[in-house]
Order: sequence, then structure tokens, then C-alpha cells
Amino acid sequence: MLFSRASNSRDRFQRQAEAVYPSLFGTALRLTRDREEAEDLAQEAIVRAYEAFDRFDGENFKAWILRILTNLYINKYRRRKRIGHSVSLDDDESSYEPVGPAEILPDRQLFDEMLGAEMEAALEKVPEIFRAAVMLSDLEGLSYDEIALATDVPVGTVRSRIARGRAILRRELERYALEEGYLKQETEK
Amino acid sequence: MSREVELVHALADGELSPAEEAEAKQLLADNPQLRAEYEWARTLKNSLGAHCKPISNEEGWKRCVGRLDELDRVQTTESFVGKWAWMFCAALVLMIFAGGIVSRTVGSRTVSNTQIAGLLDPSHSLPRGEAPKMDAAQYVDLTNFQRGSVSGGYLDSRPFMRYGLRDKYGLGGLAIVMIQGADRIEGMDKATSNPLIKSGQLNGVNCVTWAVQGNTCVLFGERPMDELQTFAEDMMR
Repeated sequence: MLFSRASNSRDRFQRQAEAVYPSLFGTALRLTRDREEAEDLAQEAIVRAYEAFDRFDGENFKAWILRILTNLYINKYRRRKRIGHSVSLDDDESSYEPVGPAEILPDRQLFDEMLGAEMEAALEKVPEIFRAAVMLSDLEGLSYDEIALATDVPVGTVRSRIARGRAILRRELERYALEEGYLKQETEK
Repeated sequence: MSREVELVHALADGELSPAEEAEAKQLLADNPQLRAEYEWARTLKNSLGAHCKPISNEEGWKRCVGRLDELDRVQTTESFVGKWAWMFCAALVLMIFAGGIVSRTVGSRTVSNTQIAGLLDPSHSLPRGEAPKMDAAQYVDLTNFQRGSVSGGYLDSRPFMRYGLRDKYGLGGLAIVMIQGADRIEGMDKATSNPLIKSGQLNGVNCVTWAVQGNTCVLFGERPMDELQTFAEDMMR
């Protein structure tokens, strides 16, 4: 009886974890930028989640496990690596500069033509605190509340990080498009 | 400006309260720059979603499953041990307790040499009233010896009697201890020329011992071993 209940819980957990593992691993890889570390981080998150599965409220498994992963990354990996990419949230107002003039609207076709690798490369350039917020929102579809829980910051900070993160990403993409000639080709048309 | 930009991005994410949403929409209507920012936010959001997909990793997932299996095994073992630990402890205590009882009642008929060593001292005696009723004549023939002091008591509930003796020449320094219910004295296993008699030393004093009807006699004194053996043979019936 005891074993069958435990096995039932394991099955439920494994089913849900397997479904979200690509997201989990993708997030870990985009955070750590190292495949081996990403695997370790994702595995650690899976183990922690399994150990705490009886405390899961049953609502949004993906958000819950991504929260575990992000917390793990913040507490363990980032501390260990001492990445120098973190940007102060309070004084980097230049991140807002890319707000373009009214007549410059984004060219959606240009972004559609970009490859995943190019987008990934631009995303890598975004400092990690902003990157994490943008990823959790735009790639994983987490709400601001869920991101706030995952990154252990107030919702207002999440809102700010997402706006800044996208601004930096936009700047990187524009630079990349210029370097690769995407923008030039577009103006030639 | 920063608050307005954040509002616009939150609008693109559908994360505003109705009041904020109305405010953001008004900002978009009034400010072409914010309208452009709004379009940027939506475009980036869609492009990221379209280009940066989840990354499958079969090997990584297999390793995760392996870890979960390992966790399950540990948890099963821990839960089993945790559930029955009290029983294992109780069984262990019972076994120790039972072993002690068996050892004391039906087990060893061996007397430890430290207990006997205490009897080397002639002053070792119990009050007369507690001395067991034992008749030395049942065990040994002491007709060729003169009895001196007599004392008695119990060694682990085994009754004993101790007689101080003098030999036929009147020389003292001899004593014999008779212990009921014992057939061996620890450390007194050295063979002698008489297969019924074993010898040894207690606190440097020579001793010989032999069994009589399931009981044990120990003769000791400051005499050579062969002389003690001769005395013992003389006492044996």
C-alpha cells in the first residue's frame, strides 16, 4: 500500500517533469551558457522538485519547477561562478535609450528572417538578471507574479527588468542586423 | 518616462490591472514613441518565442530518471528502517537481555579467575550466618591436613567454602576452595601429569584445580606446583 502510493506519486511527477524538461534544460542552458552545468542544474532542480513534490499546490508545474531552477541558479551557480555580468538595477538608465523615435517601427519580417542561433546569441549578450526575466516571460510564458516568485524580487522589479532586458536585446539585435547586413538590405529595397 | 515604458511592456504581456491598462492605452494614443516601444515589445516577445525553443536532451533526461530511481531506492530503505527501527532496537535489547539470562542460568559453568583471586586472601569471608551449608567431606578427603580458618559465601549465586589448611608437618599457607555448580576456572587450563588435575596461577600464586561431582575444588598456596598436585591427589577420593 505504502509502496504503491509512492510509486503513483513518482509516476505523476515523472510524467509532468518529462513534459517540461526541454523547457527546464533550455532555461538552464541559457542561464549558465554551459551544457554540462545546465544538465547538472536541471537535474538538481528535478531532484529538489521530486523531494518537495508533496508540497506542490498542483496549479502550474512548469512555473513551480522553473522557480526551483531559477532559485538554485541564483543561490548556487551564480555565487560559485561569480559572473561579472550582473548589472545594477538602480543606475543603468542607459538601458532605456533604445526607445526609438516614433517613425521607427520594428520590421517583423527582419526578425522572422533571423535564425534561432542569431537570436540566442543576442539573448546571451543580455545581462543575466534581465535575461532571466525576459526568458521566463517570453520563452516560458510565466506571469509577472510567477517570475517574481522564481527570482525572489517584487513584481515591480520584474516589470522593470523585462522592459530593460528587451531594450538591451533590441539594441543587440539591431547591432547584429547591421553587422550582418540585414538592415542594409532592407534599406536597399 | 521609465514608468511609461514599463507600462507599455507590461501591456504587451497582458499583465496590467484594468486601470493601468486604460492608462497605458491612453499613453499609446498620445505618444508615438511609446507606440513604437509597444510594437517593439510585441515583436521581440513573438520573435523570442518563435526562435528560442525549448531544448530537448534525451541523455540528460535519462540521467534525471536514474537519479530519481536512486532517490526512490534510498527513500524506500530509509522508510523501511524508519518504520521498523523501534522493532530492531527492541529485538536487539531482548536478545541482549535473553543472552544475559541464559548465560547466568543455564549457560557457562565457568568461574572467572578474578572472582577466585579474591579468595586468595584468607580474610575474604562473609558473616557466618550467610555462609552456605556445605560439607567438605562430600568433596575432599582432608584427613592428612589440619583445618584452619573457614569462610564461605557465594560466587555469582554459586556457594563456596574456603578452608585454610596446614600440611601434615604443620606448615600453613595452604587453602582449598570448593565451589558448587562450577566445572572450570577461567585461566586454569594447564595440563598436569594427572589428567584430572589442571594447574595455573592466580595473582602469582600456584593453584591446582579438579572437578568433583559437578563441583570444583581449587587448592592454592605458596608451594611448588608438583607439591600442590601431590596434595590434590591425596585429597581426591
